[in-house]
Amino acid sequence: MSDGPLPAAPATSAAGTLSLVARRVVAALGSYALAITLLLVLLVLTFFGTLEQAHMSLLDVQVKYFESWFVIHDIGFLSIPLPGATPVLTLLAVNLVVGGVVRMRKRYETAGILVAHLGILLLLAGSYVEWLLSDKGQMTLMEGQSSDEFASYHDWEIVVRERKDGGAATEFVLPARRLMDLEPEDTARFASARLPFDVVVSRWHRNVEPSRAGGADAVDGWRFDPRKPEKEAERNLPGALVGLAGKGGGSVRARTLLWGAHGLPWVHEEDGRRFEVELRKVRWTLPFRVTLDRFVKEDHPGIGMARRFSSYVTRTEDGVDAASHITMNAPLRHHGYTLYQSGWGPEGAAPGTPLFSTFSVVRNPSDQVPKYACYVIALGLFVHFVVFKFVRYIARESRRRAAAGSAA
Amino acid sequence: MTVRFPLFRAGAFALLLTTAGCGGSEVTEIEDVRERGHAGVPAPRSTLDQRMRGEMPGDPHGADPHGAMGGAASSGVAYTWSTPAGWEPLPAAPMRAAGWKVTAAPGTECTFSTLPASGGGFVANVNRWRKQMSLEPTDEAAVAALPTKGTLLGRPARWVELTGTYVGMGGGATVEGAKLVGLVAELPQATAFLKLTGPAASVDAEVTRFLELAASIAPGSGAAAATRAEPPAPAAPFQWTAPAGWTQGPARSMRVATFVPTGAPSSEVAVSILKGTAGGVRANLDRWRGQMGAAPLTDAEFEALPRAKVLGGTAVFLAVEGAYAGMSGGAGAAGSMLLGMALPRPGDMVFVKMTGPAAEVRGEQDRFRAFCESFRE
Repeated sequence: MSDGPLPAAPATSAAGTLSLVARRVVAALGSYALAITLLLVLLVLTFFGTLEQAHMSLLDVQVKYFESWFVIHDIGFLSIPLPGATPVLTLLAVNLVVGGVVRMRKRYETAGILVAHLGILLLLAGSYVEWLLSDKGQMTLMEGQSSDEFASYHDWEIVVRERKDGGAATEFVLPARRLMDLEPEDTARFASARLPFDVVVSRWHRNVEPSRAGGADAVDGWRFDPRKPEKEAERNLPGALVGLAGKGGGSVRARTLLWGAHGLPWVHEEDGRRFEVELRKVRWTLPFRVTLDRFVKEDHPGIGMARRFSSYVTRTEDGVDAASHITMNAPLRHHGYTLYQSGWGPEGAAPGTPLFSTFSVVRNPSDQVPKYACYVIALGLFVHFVVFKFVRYIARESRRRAAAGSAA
Repeated sequence: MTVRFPLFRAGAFALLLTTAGCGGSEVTEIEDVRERGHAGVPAPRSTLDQRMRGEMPGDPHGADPHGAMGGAASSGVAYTWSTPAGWEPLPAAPMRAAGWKVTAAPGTECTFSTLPASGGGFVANVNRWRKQMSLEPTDEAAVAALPTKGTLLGRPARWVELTGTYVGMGGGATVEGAKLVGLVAELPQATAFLKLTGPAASVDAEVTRFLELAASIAPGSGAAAATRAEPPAPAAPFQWTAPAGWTQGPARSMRVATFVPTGAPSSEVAVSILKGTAGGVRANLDRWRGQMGAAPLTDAEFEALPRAKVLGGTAVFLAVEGAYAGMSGGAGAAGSMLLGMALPRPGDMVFVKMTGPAAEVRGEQDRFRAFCESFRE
């Protein structure tokens, strides 16, 4: 970054004035002052976000403080307005590009710093790609079970499944993001040319409890009572009123309540076609199947606390099996997906109780970017501090001593 | 207040607006369409009431609310249990998979239910119970300090004990000086709840039987409590040769196939497949024996059971006579016979079960065995 004096420019015309303003803006965007201010704001956001976790789920805190453009943090009756982490990190990236790459003096001695700055930019870019494109969820298996799907921790989707012969089905998945952005008073309509009806979703609540009710609001004697979001967001059980309506704005001809705790889908038959409508955690399909062959847990002597646990799995793809051993520090990586050993249960199980193994499953195109970014940053710092600073210090000292010896 | 406006959401929003503009109304096109070759067996038709209550309509492994050995489906998972002496099963009701009342203590009732995942959270559920007992909500620390007592579905269970005025879910009678005892157990992808409520003295007198009931509740043949995220049992992934005289019956939920032997018209043969280990071979054979009023197998008896190579695995065969009180409801039918085969395979378990009058089933033993051994990929 550069805080060097701006070259004097005669502001004798409008163009000159504009040019001066542009230069000052660029200079401000690349300044140390802006960098330090942004880092301080990030520090404050992190501090307030950490405190807020006493009252909100980690997911909600992440959304409120780190995926927002603007946030108001309340301390008692005092409301503190702050920029969210989105503009702060965006400006930080701009600051780094302008001040740390473009405007930085390109000299032999600053090559290391330039490389380190590029490494930091790579880290930021990787984080952005992860935020934008990654899928994160979990897969739980008991020994002998297999699966090629993993489910989101927090996000829910509505699926309309049309049954076909031979156990096959076509699943029409309503976009989770659209659903989860709905407010209770909103109504959303979804359509597909392959469905004989539109799907109308209303009264979407993030966390509900059903109760018996009568009156106009009730559906078949039931209604949903909204509940405060849980402190652990994965515990929320959403609910919605779902109707099947005539295509092209037709009226609703069948409707029901869908709840996250329902064990069965709603079955609707129309024109000899059979549809199942279900509210479920967002699911992603892996391009391979995982079978848990054996789960191993070693306890600390004399107590039930696990010392280490791992899973022996078989990965099956195109009919070909491959054995893998997933441990805490050795995930299974394949086709851009990573399966980490993240848990087991049930906690406190008696000896002999069948255990289950839980894997965190991540699809992250920038999975390895942080590692390579760290290599680049380390290289830059090595070049700057070791190659230029230390070696030149040694050379300078040698010359000074040599000069002192000659003088003596 | 939070204002979120990430760039990709802005793009998606713009896309939505564009789509809406094209169609003249706010319609979102469903673009995520997935073709699945194996989507499990079709779900049975159910009413909203049944879904809210967690009932599995038409479940062949389902409720037997009147027998000593019961079973019910909740969240798509079937369970079995032993009803304690002096208790009577209750009919299905909202939000519970099974219920019992203590015959000699009016107002003393027990309910069993499961919910997916954490069921909304342990603290929330404890506070729901506290609300039913007219008590103020408690905090996370107090709930975390609750002890472990007994087992539920084979898992160590957290013990909740509350005294107060029982008001239940509302709409029912208020019980002064009431007590609630409850167990909560974490399953792989569900949480199980068992609670007993009533006058304090009655509840105290029934705690031992309550814990015995909890220990007896086990995953049934619709088992593998971890399977909610899994698809139901797949359609038959293998072929067979039906014996002469066996007629294939109509499709039944959770079953791969049903047969009725011509020579045994009061009997039926059910083929089903469950994901995972389904609790293991021996547990399922013992469950079948329990349905016939027989004691669990001893080690020696289990080792002595006939076995055969089927589909590359080892199938174990069971034949037991007694009073069948498993799935047909009502009191146990004396003079019944059950033939069973359990075949563990990688990733699932195949079950074949024939039940009916002993006089009929005895004559079908060879054909049953031949049918099971005819399974092929």
